[in-house]
Amino acid sequence: MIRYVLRRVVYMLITLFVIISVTFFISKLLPGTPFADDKLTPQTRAQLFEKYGLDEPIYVQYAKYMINVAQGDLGNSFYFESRPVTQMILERAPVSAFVGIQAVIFGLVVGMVLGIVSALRHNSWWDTLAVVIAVLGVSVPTFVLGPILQYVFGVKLGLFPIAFFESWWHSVLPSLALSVFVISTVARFVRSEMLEVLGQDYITLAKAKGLTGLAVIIRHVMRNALIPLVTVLAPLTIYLITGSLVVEQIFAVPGIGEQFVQSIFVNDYAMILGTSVFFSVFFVIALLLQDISYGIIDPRIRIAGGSATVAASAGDSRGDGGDGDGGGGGQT
Amino acid sequence: MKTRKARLGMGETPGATRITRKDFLKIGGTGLAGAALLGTAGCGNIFGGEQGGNGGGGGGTKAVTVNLGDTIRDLDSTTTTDSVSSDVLLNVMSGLYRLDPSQQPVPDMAEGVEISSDKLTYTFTLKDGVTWSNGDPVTAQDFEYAWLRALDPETAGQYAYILSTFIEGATEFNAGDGSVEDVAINARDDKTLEVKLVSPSPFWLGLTAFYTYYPQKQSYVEEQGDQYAQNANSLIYNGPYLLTEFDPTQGVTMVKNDDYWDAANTDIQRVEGRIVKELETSVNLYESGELDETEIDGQYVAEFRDSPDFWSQTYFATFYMVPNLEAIPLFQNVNVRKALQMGFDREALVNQILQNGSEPASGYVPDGIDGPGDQTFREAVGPTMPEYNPEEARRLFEQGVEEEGGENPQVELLAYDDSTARDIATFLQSQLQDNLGMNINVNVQPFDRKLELEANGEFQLSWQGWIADYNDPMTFLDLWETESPFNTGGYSNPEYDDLINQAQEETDFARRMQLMMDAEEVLVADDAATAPMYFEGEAHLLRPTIKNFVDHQYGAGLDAKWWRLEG
Repeated sequence: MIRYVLRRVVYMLITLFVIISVTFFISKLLPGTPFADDKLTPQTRAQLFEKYGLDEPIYVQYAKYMINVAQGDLGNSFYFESRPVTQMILERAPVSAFVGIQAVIFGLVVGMVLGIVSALRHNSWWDTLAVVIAVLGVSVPTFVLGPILQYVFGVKLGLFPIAFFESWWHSVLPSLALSVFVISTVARFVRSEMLEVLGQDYITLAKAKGLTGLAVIIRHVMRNALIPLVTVLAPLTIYLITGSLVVEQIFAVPGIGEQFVQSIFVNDYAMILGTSVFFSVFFVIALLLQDISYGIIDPRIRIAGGSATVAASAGDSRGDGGDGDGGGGGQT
Repeated sequence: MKTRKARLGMGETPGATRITRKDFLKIGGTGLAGAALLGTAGCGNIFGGEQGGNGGGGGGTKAVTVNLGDTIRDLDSTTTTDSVSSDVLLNVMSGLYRLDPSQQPVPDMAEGVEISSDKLTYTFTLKDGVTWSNGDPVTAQDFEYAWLRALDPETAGQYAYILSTFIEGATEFNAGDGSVEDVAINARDDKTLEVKLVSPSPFWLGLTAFYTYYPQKQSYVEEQGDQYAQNANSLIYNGPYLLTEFDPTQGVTMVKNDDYWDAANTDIQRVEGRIVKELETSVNLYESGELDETEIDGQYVAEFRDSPDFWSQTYFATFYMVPNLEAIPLFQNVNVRKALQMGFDREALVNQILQNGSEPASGYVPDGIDGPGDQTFREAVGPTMPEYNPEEARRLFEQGVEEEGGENPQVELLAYDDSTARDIATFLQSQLQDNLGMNINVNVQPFDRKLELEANGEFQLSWQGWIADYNDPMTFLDLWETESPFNTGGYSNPEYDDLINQAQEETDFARRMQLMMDAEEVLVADDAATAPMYFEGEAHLLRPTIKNFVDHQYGAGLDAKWWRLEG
């Protein structure tokens, strides 16, 4: 197990190195400079390039940057005069993370309830309602939904603040706007997985043994139906907590998503790289945890000799694991 | 709402699967616990300081909340360039002079100034008792230090040119060639600052109100080091307001500075500057009373134009079309250039496309810039642009094409990647095609790239904008000198160059003004070197209780010192 984890960590570092390098060179390929000003004289431009080390050959800049990153220094922003990128990210990332995690939790709870209800009341008007909500949630973009929520709950009903980020109440509408996508994704998944599981023989067996409806649902149906959800939820969570440009703009939330997009528009190299490094560390660690947890859940994955089979066997193991679990349930 | 939800929940309980109430609580409880955990973890640090908003009404505090519109990039006056930072600095810092509501300089930190007879040496005397917010006196050395710091090549200040263009020895020092001793900025004692200019510049006094000319206290700047101007408490203030909260992404809180020399005439006690980038959100916030001022455009201008909350003005900026005489030989024909001038409907452009308070250009130098005596330059010169006249434009264009050999070439209009710019490009394309019979295609580039193409002369027809650096026609007119780096279209007329050179040397300011008036006539009316399109404007929603609202037409904008709050 330890060897397995160590190997994953090494892969992770290599991945990060590649991501940072590629991002570094891509960001230098962006048209323009951080100093876009129609009144800039060539002389001042040269002074600025010197001040920020942009006059050096690109491989020197690259080497310096990599050495700094290795020491944990992401450099200073070009756009926000000399403000440390690390500090700005650490100030803004928790804001996005808070709004995102809240959206995931809310979306998960509501989505599961909707999914379960529509599966149990298959083909009833509950089911139809849940499906309609799910379709709407996936297809209405946040730049439409956000202003609607803002207008209805903020302006008309006055239940929640229209914008800004000053208290928990301010985070409700942005989280709600983000959660609609989660709700619909989760609801659709739970519904279809449950419908599938409900038709399995072991469910009939469990009922035949005389277990109560609830015990069947909780111990057998839910447990098996929710496993695939974990696979969907992990990337969804990461996506949401790294911030959304649209929602952050609409609700004037000072988050990292808006910062990242902005930095690309203004050629703020240090910020582009800093946020990319931050995001990728985040992703890579999440993947590492996922891999490790697969290893724990299903020993076949790590014993299976190589590491390249991880993804494939993880996919395969779902169905098998489900059956196994169902059998276990039957024995009690 | 609540009762209905509960009923729905209850209705769910019985049925085939019978989930009990207890189970529901279990499932829900997990979510709630998680939320609570996050809540307690978060509340302490991630939510922005509970800025009072419009609060304080109980104590009768006069407070307004404005929308800064974008992030605050840099509050170091020697390096900053963006309009948001300068809006903030304008209220918490004071230069030697400050612009009054009609853009004229009035003494601020200075008691007054003595100007030598050759109009080159300015001797400022500071007021008695003016202080920084840490209690230290504001001295002439503070100005000398800040100005030299801005000029220092190490600082790489983008606006260093606004000092170096005018002050003797400054260009050399800024270029790294000269020495700091040769820069003609001298604090003769704590209260006296002497500055020598390179040429007579009647408008320069107004520039001492510009942010690059603010003072900085050397001992404080050095003590703060890298932290200088990064937080509200790593900066000291000498203006009408003090910065009490500053977050580059969330905004600022400014409270009245009771130690400011003119505090008795500062009416508003608290100014909140918030940052809302989304237009719809800002209008919603305005209507709900959370913002007292915000900039609008497009549909909202049409919607609010007749409301008492509507406020608009043009500022010192002109947008103008530039034909590249070197790229398209046809543009060397003056009739063709005149056809360009009268071939598009400026009224339609500002009223249907821009909708942001802009006005049709009647000439090149924008409305409001100082002219002779009490007149503005535009009032004195009158319109130099011909009226929109599609028939005459087509006649002139066809005549010009004939004179140049009968070929009507394909012309590429350079535009940039911005929704308004795209609309303008489409508008110009259809106007020039329909009215003149020109063959126009549009080339859209990122803004940066557009500037680069223009600087290299790699364009055929483009439009450009210029914002005044100072309150004088020269800030626009010298762009068209043959040698100017901003003369991108290759226009060259010795008569024009001569008028500009004479004006730059002239010590008789009335005569100087006359030379510039003649120059604009040559540039726009005679040579049609450019086709001015519009004077850029701004439209705001503004709470009608705010009187005497001042948003300066050049330099920094929002100047709360002059505002009055009624009711």
